Amino acid sequence: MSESERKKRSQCIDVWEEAGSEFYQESYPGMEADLEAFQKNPNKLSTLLPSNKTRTARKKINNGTVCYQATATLKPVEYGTLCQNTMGCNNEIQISLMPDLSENLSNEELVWEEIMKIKTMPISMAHKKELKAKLKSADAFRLQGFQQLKWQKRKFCNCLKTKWLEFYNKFHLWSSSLKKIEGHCGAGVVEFFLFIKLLIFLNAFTMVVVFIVLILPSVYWVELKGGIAPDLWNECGSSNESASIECCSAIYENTTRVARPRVTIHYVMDIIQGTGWVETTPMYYSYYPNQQFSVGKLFTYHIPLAYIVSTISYFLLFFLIIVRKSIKGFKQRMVETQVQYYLYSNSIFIGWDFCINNKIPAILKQKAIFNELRSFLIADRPKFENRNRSKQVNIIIIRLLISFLVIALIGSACFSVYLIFYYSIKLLQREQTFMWAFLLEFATPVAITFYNIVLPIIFDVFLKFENRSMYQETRLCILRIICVRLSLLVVLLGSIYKLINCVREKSQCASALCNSPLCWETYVGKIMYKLLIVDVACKIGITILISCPRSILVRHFKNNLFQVMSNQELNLAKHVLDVIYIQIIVWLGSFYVALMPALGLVSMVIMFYIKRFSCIVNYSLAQKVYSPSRAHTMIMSMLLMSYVLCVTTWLAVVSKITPSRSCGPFKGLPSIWRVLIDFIRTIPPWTITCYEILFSVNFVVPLIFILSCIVYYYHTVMGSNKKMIVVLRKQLVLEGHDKQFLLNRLSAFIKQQDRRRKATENNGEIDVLLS
Amino acid sequence: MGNKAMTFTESQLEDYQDCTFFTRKEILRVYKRYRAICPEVVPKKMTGDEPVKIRVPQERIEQLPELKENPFKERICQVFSKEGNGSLSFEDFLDLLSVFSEQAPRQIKVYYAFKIYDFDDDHHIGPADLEQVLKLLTRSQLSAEEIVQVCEKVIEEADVDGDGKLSYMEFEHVILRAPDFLGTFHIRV
Repeated sequence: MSESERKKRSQCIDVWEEAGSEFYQESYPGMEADLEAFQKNPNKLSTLLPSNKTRTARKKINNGTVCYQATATLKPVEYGTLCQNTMGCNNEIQISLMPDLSENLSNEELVWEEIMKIKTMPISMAHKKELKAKLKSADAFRLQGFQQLKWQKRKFCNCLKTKWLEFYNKFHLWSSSLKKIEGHCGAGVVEFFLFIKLLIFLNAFTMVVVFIVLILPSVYWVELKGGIAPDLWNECGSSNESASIECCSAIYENTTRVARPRVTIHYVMDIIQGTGWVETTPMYYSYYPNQQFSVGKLFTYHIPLAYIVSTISYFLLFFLIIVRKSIKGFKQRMVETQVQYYLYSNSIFIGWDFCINNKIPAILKQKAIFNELRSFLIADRPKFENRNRSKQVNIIIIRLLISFLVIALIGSACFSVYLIFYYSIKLLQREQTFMWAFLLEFATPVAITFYNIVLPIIFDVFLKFENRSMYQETRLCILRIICVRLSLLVVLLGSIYKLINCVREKSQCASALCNSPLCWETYVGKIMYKLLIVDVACKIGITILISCPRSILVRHFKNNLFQVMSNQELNLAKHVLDVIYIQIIVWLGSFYVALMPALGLVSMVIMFYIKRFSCIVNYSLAQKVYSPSRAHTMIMSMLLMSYVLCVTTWLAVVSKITPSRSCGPFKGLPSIWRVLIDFIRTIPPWTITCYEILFSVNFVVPLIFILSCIVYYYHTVMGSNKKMIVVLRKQLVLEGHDKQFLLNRLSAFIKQQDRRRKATENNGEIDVLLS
Repeated sequence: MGNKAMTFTESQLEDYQDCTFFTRKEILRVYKRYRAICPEVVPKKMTGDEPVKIRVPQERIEQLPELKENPFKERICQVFSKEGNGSLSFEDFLDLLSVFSEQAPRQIKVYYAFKIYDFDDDHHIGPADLEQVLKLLTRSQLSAEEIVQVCEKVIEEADVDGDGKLSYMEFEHVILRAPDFLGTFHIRV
């Protein structure tokens, strides 16, 4: 064994070595002689137990018995689980060792519990039915009074749970789709589709919240009150007070009050661009008034407050659900992957997905397992004999060069997006033909989406030259794609910020120097809307127009050229990034476009079907082995990171930039938090005093102290639990060896008895013969 | 649901519900699939001892869509078949699907996984068994040398008492560490 292998093995089996090496043998010394002693004095056997033979083992067992006594319960030993945990492979011994349960169980509830445990026993159906019949016919005391009630309640809860599961499974959305996907691509990819489903439900919930809290009341109010009075408009036109809030709003309303176009093409174009008559619908921020109205005599409904509250509530909801899902996955990984030394065993014993039920995905999956095993073997082979000095240096130079190229490409893409943004705004100021204006409006989103699609392809080509291992390749690939997308978004947001944050003179509603829009929130909303539409449209287009013919070509022509061209999306992380990108756009735009969650919902549904199509028809994800838990962790961590980024951006924006003067529920206020502060002033003073007390120094410092004590306590408990786990693990090993020893003795004893019996029979026969 | 009364008796359904991880509806669904494999052999009424007596041969079971592409389909049939020749009665079939269902706990799945991978039935997974597993899993694409290497590596990783093969305890120890076992070791009907 080489050095590394020896180290690995020693790390792996140090747990086992404590148990000593003398009983790694199958046969135990002095077995024959011992059996005589055993017959005379059975207790002597316990001294021969392997666990008793080592000094360290004895100490631990003493500790163990102390532990057991402390926690012993009065319940009878659970024979069911005992049967399972002993030599699970010997069925006959298992069945014969099952004790006569009818003697030991004392009441109905225990009988019922035992019946419930029958299904977990690994015996055949006939035996199970026998066991159940035996249990049912056993004498059991009927429970009295309160215990009877408790037991009935338990039974009822159980029954309810099964009924609920049945009912719930009926309404499982897309369950047949998911089953088909599982059959094609395996259980890891199903995690991805469950993630899309989660986002769909969250977006749907957001949409409902926004609709009820914000849209309905605002529509009610706006339809009730109507538009701006005409005399106000005249006043504003003439006087010098042309930069007051009312005048700015009047100017803005005038510019956007466009009649619905008669020509259908203009109607449709306006919808696609999100401009024109769409600006007067509840879709954008500018529709919402900064008024409050009274609902009968009950209370006043404050629309700006509703706006903020709905936003904060759905951000909070997202946060809670994402954190909950991440923690579940994290806990699982912490507990179960403590020992990472089972690469080969895992990929062989757990590698095959038993759900796969199609021919081609099965072939692909087998190929994937084969590739994985091959890559493990290659990784284990000693590498240094293959590489000499100059080759290593070459590779390092190539990698550095490619990294510079990548950074240069991303930088130039960002710069070009900035230029396109700047010039499209400039050109749009002048009068343009309809088509040209349309193109200019979409120039920036199209450029961003174009770079998002093209740059990863170029990076893939670069990766081939870099000669990296499989894991490094995938990690680097994902990292580069994240860089591209994030930097393009940052450039876009930065350019918008520059546009908005220009110096404004007192007599202007918005800065005329940089040509900032009158209502910058609607402007941001429009850009986000266009970005979303272009992205989804491109994805649909690529799947249908490019991937589909490609896969058809690959399937029907076995030419090498076509095989090379068929480099489909092999990486689950890329697909996850696609979906998360759309969700990021939805999050960033939700504050400025009230209907964005609804659009997000629709785009997620579209993405589900696109990804399903590429999975089932193009077999794009069937070529790698994805483990469900790792996929889940990856997805949740990416989602959490992007959520944090979006919320930070939103908080920064609303804190730094003043709301526009011409539109929206916050016009005229220095910041949107002012609404909250004003609201807080109206609530009863005792809450404010409570709040002040809670957050005063006298309270906070002791609280922090107590919290740190609690944290320290849990930290110590965790440390001692870890040590306990090590101790218990060693004890398990010893118990296992005890069992094995006893079994061997038992079988040797039985053999001996058999031999003796045969010997006495033979002797008897010989006697008969001789006599 | 008039069919329910005709196919199985109440007590049979209750028994099956208690002995497997299926609900009534699922048991009837399993029966439908079982009948669909071999309609000429499986009767509509299973109220007597038909669930035990009537057996569907192995070749027909292997044509089930869920098992068709499984490299271990033969072994699965052999393990669950009471007579050992691969033919499954309805109860065996129900048992099979119950073990592979989502509600089955880890312990029972590990037990049957061990039995499936133990091709020579000697209660140990030896190098010969591992070779078989690899051949089925990779469609004999690995070279003989690579197969030997992988077998060695697996035994090195998992074998603890040094006997060159995996006992049930060692196998259990490896499998219970992996979080994905429940996800991959199930068949949905």
